[in-house]
Amino acid sequence: MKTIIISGIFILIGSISTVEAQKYFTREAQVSFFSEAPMEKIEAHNGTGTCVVDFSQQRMEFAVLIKAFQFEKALMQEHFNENYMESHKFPKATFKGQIIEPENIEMKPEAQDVQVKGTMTIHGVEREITAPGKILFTGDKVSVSSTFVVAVKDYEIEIPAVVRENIAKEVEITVEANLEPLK
Amino acid sequence: MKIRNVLIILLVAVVIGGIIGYKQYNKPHRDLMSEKVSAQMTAQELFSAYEEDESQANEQYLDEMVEITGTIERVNIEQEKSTLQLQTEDMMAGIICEFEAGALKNIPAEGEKITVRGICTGKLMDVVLVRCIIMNS
Repeated sequence: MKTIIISGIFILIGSISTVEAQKYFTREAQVSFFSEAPMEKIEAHNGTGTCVVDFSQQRMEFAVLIKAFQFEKALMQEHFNENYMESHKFPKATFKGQIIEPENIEMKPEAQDVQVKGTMTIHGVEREITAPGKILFTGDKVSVSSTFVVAVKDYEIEIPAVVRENIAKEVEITVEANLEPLK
Repeated sequence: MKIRNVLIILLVAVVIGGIIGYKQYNKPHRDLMSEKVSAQMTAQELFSAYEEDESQANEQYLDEMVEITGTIERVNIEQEKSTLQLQTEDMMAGIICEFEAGALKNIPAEGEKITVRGICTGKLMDVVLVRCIIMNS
């Protein structure tokens, strides 16, 4: 009888903690982009993205500040902010979406391929996108990653004709985040 | 004779233009140690400014170098970029200070009071400062 009660308590505690650990969060999501044009390779990193994943609804949100992207060359960073992203007008880029595949994600400690669909907002322009990603549960943490390509013109980012050779029309974006349970 | 002079002038102009262009292309990032501070305040004051009116705060502080004093709530050391989070009255949010690789020489402890310079990049959940430097200690 005692053992039944004790194991019952353990099961109860176990189920409570799994219910609690449905939402995960980080404020140090790493977001990078990379583009290679005939003339120039452009690369920038941002280590202060926020990411929230709610596994009970399979929902996921990302946000980054445009001015927090760091380039190797100060001039590129200036042009990126002032001429292309107009970051004084549109300081953030966001993504809000849903894990559509698998339909019911299992919280198991091995890498799982997922498909995420949602709305990306860059430069004040909203677009529906679908991107592949990976999710891995380890202990009480979860890491998510994704690499996908966006076309600059989809977000109404204009590149002047003189520098068109220097800037790629498509940019590869990489996201990596290690999330902790939200308390 | 005249043509030669014109050619020399042209050549000099091209060389000077090239040097200016090259320097411009390789110009350094902002040096926060020599730049003038545009605002000095506490972590709470900067956070409140953003809570009250984000677009107004952006107009005032976005891309500006600010000097912020506050208490460290959390230290996150990474190989590349490390971050410190400064406390505010909000339980869930604060000021995030990001340091470039190697910029955080002495790692401060949680609970320590520090003054940090950084470039304000706006607010997500927290207000984010980048390219930070610790001014005291």
